[in-house]
Amino acid sequence: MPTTTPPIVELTGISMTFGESSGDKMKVLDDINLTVQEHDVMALLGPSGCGKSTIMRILSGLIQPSSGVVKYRGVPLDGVNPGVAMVFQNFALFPWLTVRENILLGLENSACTAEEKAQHFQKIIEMVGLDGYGDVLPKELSGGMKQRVGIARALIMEPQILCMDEPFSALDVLTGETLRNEIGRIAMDPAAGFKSLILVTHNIAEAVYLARNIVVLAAHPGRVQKIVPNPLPYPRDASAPAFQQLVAQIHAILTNSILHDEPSVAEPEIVTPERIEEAAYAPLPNVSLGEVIGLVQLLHPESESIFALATRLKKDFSTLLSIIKAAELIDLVETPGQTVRLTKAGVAFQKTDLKQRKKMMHDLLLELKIFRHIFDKIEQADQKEITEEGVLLDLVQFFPNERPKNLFNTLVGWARYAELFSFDRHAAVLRKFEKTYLGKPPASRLTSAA
Amino acid sequence: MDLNPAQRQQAPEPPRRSFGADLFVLAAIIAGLFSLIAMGKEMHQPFQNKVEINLSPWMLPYYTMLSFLRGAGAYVLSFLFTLWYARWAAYDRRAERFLIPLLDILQSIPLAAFLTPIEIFLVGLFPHSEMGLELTCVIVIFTGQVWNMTFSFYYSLKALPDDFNFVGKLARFTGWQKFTQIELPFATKGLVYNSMVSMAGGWFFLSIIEAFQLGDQDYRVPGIGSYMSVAKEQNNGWAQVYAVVAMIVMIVAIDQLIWRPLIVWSNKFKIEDTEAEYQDRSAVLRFFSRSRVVAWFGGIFNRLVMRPAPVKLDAAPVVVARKPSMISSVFPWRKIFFILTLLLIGWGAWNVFHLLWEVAFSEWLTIGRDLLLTLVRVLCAVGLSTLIAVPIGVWIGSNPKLAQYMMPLTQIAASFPSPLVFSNLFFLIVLVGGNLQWGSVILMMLGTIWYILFNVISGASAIPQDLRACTQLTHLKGWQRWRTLWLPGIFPALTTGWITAAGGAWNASIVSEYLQDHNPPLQATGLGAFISNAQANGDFPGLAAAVLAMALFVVFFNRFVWKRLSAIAQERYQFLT
Repeated sequence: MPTTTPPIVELTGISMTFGESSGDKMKVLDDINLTVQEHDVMALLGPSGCGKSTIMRILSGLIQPSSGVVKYRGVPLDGVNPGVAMVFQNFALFPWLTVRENILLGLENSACTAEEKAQHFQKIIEMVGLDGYGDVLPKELSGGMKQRVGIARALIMEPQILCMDEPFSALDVLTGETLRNEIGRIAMDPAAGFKSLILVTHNIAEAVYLARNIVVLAAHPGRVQKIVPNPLPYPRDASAPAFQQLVAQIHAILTNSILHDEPSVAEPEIVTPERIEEAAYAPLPNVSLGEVIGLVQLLHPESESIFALATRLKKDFSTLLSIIKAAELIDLVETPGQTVRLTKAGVAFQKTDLKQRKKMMHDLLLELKIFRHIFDKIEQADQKEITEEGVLLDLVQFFPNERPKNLFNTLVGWARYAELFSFDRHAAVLRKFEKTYLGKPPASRLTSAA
Repeated sequence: MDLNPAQRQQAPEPPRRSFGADLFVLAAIIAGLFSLIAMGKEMHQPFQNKVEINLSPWMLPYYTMLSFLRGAGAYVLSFLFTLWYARWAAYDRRAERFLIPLLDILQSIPLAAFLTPIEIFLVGLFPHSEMGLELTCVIVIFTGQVWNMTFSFYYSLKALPDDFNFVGKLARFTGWQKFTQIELPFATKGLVYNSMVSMAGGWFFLSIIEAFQLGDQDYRVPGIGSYMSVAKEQNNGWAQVYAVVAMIVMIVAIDQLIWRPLIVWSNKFKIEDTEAEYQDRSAVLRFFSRSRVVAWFGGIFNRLVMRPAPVKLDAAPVVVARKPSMISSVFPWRKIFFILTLLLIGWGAWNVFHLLWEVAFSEWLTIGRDLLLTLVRVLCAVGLSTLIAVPIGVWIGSNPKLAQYMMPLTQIAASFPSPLVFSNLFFLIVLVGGNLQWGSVILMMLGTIWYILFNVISGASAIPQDLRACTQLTHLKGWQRWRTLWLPGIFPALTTGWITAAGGAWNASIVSEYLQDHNPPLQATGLGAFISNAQANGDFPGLAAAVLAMALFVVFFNRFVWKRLSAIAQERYQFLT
C-alpha cells in the first residue's frame, strides 16, 4: 500500500557492538537500514544471533545504537520512542498488580479522564477476550491469558507502532496458534488503534501469516539479507499454494544465507604460525556435537530437501540449518542447493560404533584449522597445557564478529567429545586429552555384581 | 546472620512449630545460661589477668594472627557442631521438633546480652589459666557464627531429593560414603556461602570479647580487639588507626584468599545441568588449580578421607535386616535422657526464679521503659538505614556492572566489627553537637546499613529487564516508577535485610548505648545500657531480668512483625518463574 505520509520510524546505518573488553567484544548489528511506513505489518525474521530483538529495542529507544540514527516521524529520537508499545516474549507482567492495574499502566500518564480510561479499558479487555479477569493476579492465569494481558497493555496505549518480541514462543503450540489468529484479526481491526505492527520471530510460517513485509536477517554480524514483500490478501490461508510458495522462498533465502554465504570448509593443510590467515578459519556454529551426530544418524543415504527434513524432525528451521552447517564444516554432510546428503565420511560414520566414531571425529576435527591450531599449541607448550586467556585472544583475532566466550565453549565441547583436548574450568587451562581412570575397580565387586 | 535471599526462598518449610514449644525452648535457654552463672559464681575466684599489649605497629601482624586463629578455631568448632546438630535434627523426627525451634531462637536472640553469663561460667571452669580465657573467646565467637551454618546444612539435608538417596542405597553406600558423596556435596554451596556470612558475624563478637572487662576484672586477651581497647585507654590515635587498618586487611584477605575461591569452586556442586551465562571467576582459585602440589594434596585427601577404599571388598549383596540392639530396646535411654534434661532445666528455672525474685517492681518498670527506648532506637536505625540504602541499592542494582563489584564490597563492609570504632565515631557525633541518646542510633546504623544495602542490591538486580523496559515504554516517571517497579520489586529482599539488620541492631545496642572506653563510661538510657551496667556492677538479678526481657521481646517481635512481613513479601511480591 503506497503512502505519502512520512514514515513512522526510520533506521539509518544502525550498528551495534556489545562488550567493552577486547576479550568479549562482538558486533551484533552492522549497517541496518529500515523504514516502517504507516499501515505496515513488518516481520523481522532470522536465526538466533542475528540481532532481531536488538533492532526492536533500538527502534523503541530502550537502548542506544553504537552508531546510526533512529528517526521518529522525521525527528531523531532522544530517549524512549513515544510512539511505541511493546509485547514481550515472557509477558513482563507485574506480579503484584492485578490484570486491570497491569493494563491501565499503559494509560498512567495519558490525559484521559477516569471515565474515558474505564471506557477504553472495557473496549480493550473485550477485544483480547479477558472480560471478567480484571481483578485477578497474573500468577493465577495460564500462559496464553498472561500474553493477552501483555497485548491489552500495549493496545490500550494506541501506539503508532505495536512491537511484538516473539510473542508466541513462550506458549505451547495450540495456544500460540490461537493467539496468532487473533492477532491477525486485531491487526485488521481499525478499532484496535495502532498504525503499524512489527513482529520479531524465528518462525517462517508465522511471518508469512501475519506480515506485509518480511525482513530476512543474517547473523554474525546481524544485517538485512533481503526484504520480501508479502502481497497475499488477508485473512491468509496457511494451506494455500501461494502461501506455501512464499514459505519455500523464504526457506531458500535463509538456507543460502546460513549455509552458502559463509567461508567454505577450510582446506586441510599444515598450519605454521606465519601462515595463519583469518579468512581460512571457519567459525563454529553454536551447536553441540551431540546434535550434529544425531542429525547424521537420522539422515537417509539419498539427498533430502532441508525444508522436508525440518518438517520430518519437527525442528526449528534456522536451528536445523546451524546443525547442518556444523556437520558440513566437519565434512559429514554436503548441501547441494536446498538439499542435504551424507558424504562418504558421513556414511561411514553412521555405520560404525562409538569407539570408531570418536576416532573419526578426532581426525575430522583436526582437519579444521582452529582445532589444529590449538592442538599444536598444546603440543608445543611446556606442560602440554595452555591458558584460556591465550586461546580467547586467538579467537578474537580470527573471528572478530563472534562472541569469543561462546565460541570457546562450543570449541571445548566438540574437542572433549573427540578426545582432542580437555578444559579445566577452575584452572582455566586447556590440556592434552588423557584418559582419566580412577584406579581399578575391585575384581570381586565386578563378579558379585555380575 | 543470613544475608542471602535466594537461600531463604529455596529452603523448604521447617516443621510446623507450636508457640508452646517456642516458649519452652526459650525458657530452657535462659534457665540454662543462668544456671551457668550460678555454677560459675560458685567456682569464681578473684582473677587478675594482666594483658600486656605492645602498641607498636610491628606487633600488629602478630595480634591479627591471634585474632584470626581464634576466629578460625571457632569456625572449626562451628563446622563440627553444624554437621552433628543438623544431621541429628534432620534424621531424628522426635528431636527435630525441639532442635529446630531452639536453633531459630538462638539465631534471633541478641547473644551479645549473654556474653557475661557465658564468660563467667567458662572462666570459672578454668580458673587462673590463660587457656580458659582463650577457650572462652573461641566459644563466644562460635556462638556468633554457628546458627545460620547449621540452618543451611539442615535445609540442604531436608531438601536432598530422594533420588540421590536411592542412588546411594542401590550402590550400597556406607554411612560415611553417604555423608561424603551425597550429603556434603549437595550442601556445599549453601554451607560455603553461610560460612562466609558466619565468619563475618563472628568478628562482631571477637571485637567485644577480646576487650572484655567486667567491673574491675580484666578478661582481655591479646588480639586486635584488646589492641584497640588499650590504644583507646592510652589515647593513642595512630595505634587506633593501625588496628582498624589491620582488621580491614584481615577481612579483605580472608575474603579474597578463602571465600571467593571457595564460592567459585562450590559452583560445581550446583544441582543444575546447565551452565550459567555468567561465570564467577577467582584468580586465586585459578592459581591454586594450576599448582601441582595442591592437586597432589587434594588427591591424597580425596583417597584417604572422601573416598576411602571400601572396607569389605568381597561383601556380597546381602540384604541385612537391621537387628534391634538389645541395649536400646530394653533400657529406656531416651526417657532417662529426657527426664535428666527436664530436671536440669527445672533446676535452672529455679535459679532464675530466685534471681528474679530479688528484682524490685520499680526495676521492672525501668526495664520496660528502657526496652521501649531501645526498640525506638533499633527501629530508627533500621528505618534510617532503609532510607539511605534503598535509593543507593536500587541505583547500584540496576547497573549490572556496578552491582557485580559492589555486592562483594558491601559484604566485606558488613563483616567489619563496628564496635571497634564506636567510640571514635561518637567523637565525631559530639563534634556536630550530638549526644549518645541519639548518637547510638548512628552507631547501630554502622552495622545495620550494609545488610540492607546488600539485600537491596541483590533484589534490584534480580528485577527482570523486561519489567524495566515496560515502565520506560509506558512512560512512567519518578515516583510512579518507584511505586510500580522498584519498591515492590525489592520488597522480598528488603524484608530479609530488615530481619538481619534488626538482629544486628539489638546486638549492637549492648555496646552502642554504653561506651566503656570513656571514663566514666558514657551511657544512653536504654536496655542495652541497662544490661552493660548490670554487667559492670555485678548486678546479677537485674542482668537476668533485662536479658530475659530483651530475649523474649526480640523473639516475639521477630515472630509477629518481621516474619509476617516476610511471608507477605514472599506471597505477593515474588517474581513469576
